[in-house]
Amino acid sequence: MTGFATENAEPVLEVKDLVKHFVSGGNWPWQQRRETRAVDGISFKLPAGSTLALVGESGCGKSTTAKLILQLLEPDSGDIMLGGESIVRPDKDALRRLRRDVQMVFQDPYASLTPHLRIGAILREPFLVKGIGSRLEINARVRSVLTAVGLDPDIAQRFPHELSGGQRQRVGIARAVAGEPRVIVCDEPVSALDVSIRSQIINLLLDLQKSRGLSYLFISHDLDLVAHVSDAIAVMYLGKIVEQAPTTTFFAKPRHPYSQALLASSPIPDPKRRTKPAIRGEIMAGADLGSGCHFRNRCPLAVNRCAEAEPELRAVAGNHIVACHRADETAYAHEASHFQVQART
Amino acid sequence: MDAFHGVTGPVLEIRDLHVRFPGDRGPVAIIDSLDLSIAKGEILGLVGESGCGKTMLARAILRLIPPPGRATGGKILFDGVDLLGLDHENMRLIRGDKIAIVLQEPMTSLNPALKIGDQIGEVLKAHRPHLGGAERMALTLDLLEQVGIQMASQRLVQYPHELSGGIRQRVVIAMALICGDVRLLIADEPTTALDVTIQAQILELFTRLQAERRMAVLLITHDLGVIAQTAHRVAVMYAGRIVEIAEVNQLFDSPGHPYTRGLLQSLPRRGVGLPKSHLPAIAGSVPNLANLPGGCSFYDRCPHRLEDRCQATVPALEETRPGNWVRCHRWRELPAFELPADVRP
Repeated sequence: MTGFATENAEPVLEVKDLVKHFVSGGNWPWQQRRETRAVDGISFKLPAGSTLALVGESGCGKSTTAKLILQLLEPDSGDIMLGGESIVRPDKDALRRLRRDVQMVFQDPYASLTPHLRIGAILREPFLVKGIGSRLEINARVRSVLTAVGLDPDIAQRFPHELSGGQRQRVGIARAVAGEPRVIVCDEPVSALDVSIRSQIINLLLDLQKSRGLSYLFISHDLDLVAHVSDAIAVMYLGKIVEQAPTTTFFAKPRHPYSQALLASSPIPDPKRRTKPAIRGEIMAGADLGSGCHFRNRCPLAVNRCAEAEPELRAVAGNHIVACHRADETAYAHEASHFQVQART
Repeated sequence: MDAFHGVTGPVLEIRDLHVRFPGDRGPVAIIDSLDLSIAKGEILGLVGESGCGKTMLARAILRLIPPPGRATGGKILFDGVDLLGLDHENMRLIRGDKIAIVLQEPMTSLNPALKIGDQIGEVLKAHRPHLGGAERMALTLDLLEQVGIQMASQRLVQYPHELSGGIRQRVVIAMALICGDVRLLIADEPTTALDVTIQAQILELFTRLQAERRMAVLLITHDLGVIAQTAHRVAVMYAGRIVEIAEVNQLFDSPGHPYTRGLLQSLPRRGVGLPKSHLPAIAGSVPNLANLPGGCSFYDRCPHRLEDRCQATVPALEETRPGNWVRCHRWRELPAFELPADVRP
């Protein structure tokens, strides 16, 4: 799995120029109308059997992207292709196919399981929707999917509150894979779990991908985790993808100053490598965006040009794309100066 | 770091603390026989998973254990005075004045209906009733600048919802320190709700304020990265007991307890281990405190367990080398600690 499973592999999921803006206020003459550009023209491909990680900080639009893909929100414009067919504004049949082919694993295993249903009943639903066979047959399938996620099949008799966080997340994963989907959107699948449980769940997701050929859109803020599980990475900032690259390339040579800052900010579990904050300031509020690069108020490399024109995504090497006016100069800056890991005394 | 011990006496010393809650089948020990001390000018990191008792320890120190739970034994000596023996009035004088706390979620620890200036002023009204309005205002402004808030006078008239998460957390830190002679600051997951770039800024602020004021800090977190970046010493809790105490470099270089080792090995690290390979995982899940196994509470998950010895008695916390205390029967016999191989090019 070295690679961004190549350009020529047929993407199972493709997103083209996806846009979703939210409008608030403006209902009355004295209210200011405000527009939040949650997702502002993003494009990516998810090759079959691979994992694309969507990383970024809160408010960058990564969860809105997930909702758009699942058609829980309707995009303002742009297209989403599943296996070559558009799934935007689906009719009844298309929606049914979409629900079968694209599933989701949620962040919070406490909130995402219906509390008054037994585990068996929760897991029967995907099969009922699919219209598979008799009750006996469905029960057999429920037991087999529970075994596949490493749970004792007898757990089907229990209620969610009787399970631990790790067990519940396994049930959430079982529910997602039960209908044999092609794509699973994993929205921060382990960040609500205890540290000692996380690696079990990550290993399970890796195993299921291998045995069932699943493709994952993996939403996370944890770069160390993403480095381990993904084939390619897209970094989002204020509704836009600012850098996208195969995982190994990204971690060896991140090119966007924001990616470099993210990498330098995530706390390294090694007391001998203490770091200083990589960037100052906070994300610009929606109203102040205006023209120019949205990251410029925090960027250590910002120049006049950055306030005048918004940088377009462009290829800096093979399938490594960056939206930064100064991307040619950032290549080795990561090791060189402004984001160096500095010893703190 | 050795200067922190011995030279100055501990600010806080906890001896044989027990906290119990009534359960269906007799009392449940949430904290069991806990010994811990924090010296002046020291950041003690307390790591553990949800339900291990780390937040309950913070509450016990402030005498804020929610009923029907209560401290059933032991001593909490703060500057030599047993907090468990104080009456309500004297405890109130210590809370917020000598011992302050910063909580995880800055949105819920601020009153949404009060302006920032009034909220901080409230603390001063309670603890420094002799101050006039102008003096309170001056102190507040000064402190807001110290915690790195720009345009502090404008912030005073804003409400919490108008501020970003990072600034809110700075306000909370300012409120905690406004009384000026805080000797012990308890920070319970202070950066968990923040984005990584903001987290780095807040952690830097903590270390700076702590060094300037020579405060003792109890930093509670589940994030080993945060611990590695900020703490001087670390205590690891598991199922209501401290299982290891060590100086921070000792802990990350050569952890003694199998649980600490498992945690450190299971962390995904950039460049360590092959991408998409299995992460080393700790098997099983955290035991139910109401139903702890006899003997070592880590027994079920431990790769080094011995049937007779480890199940028979609870191991004692023993000093295995200077500054390193481990609660394991087998600490003498364990193999040397190793991390997965480094595969960085």
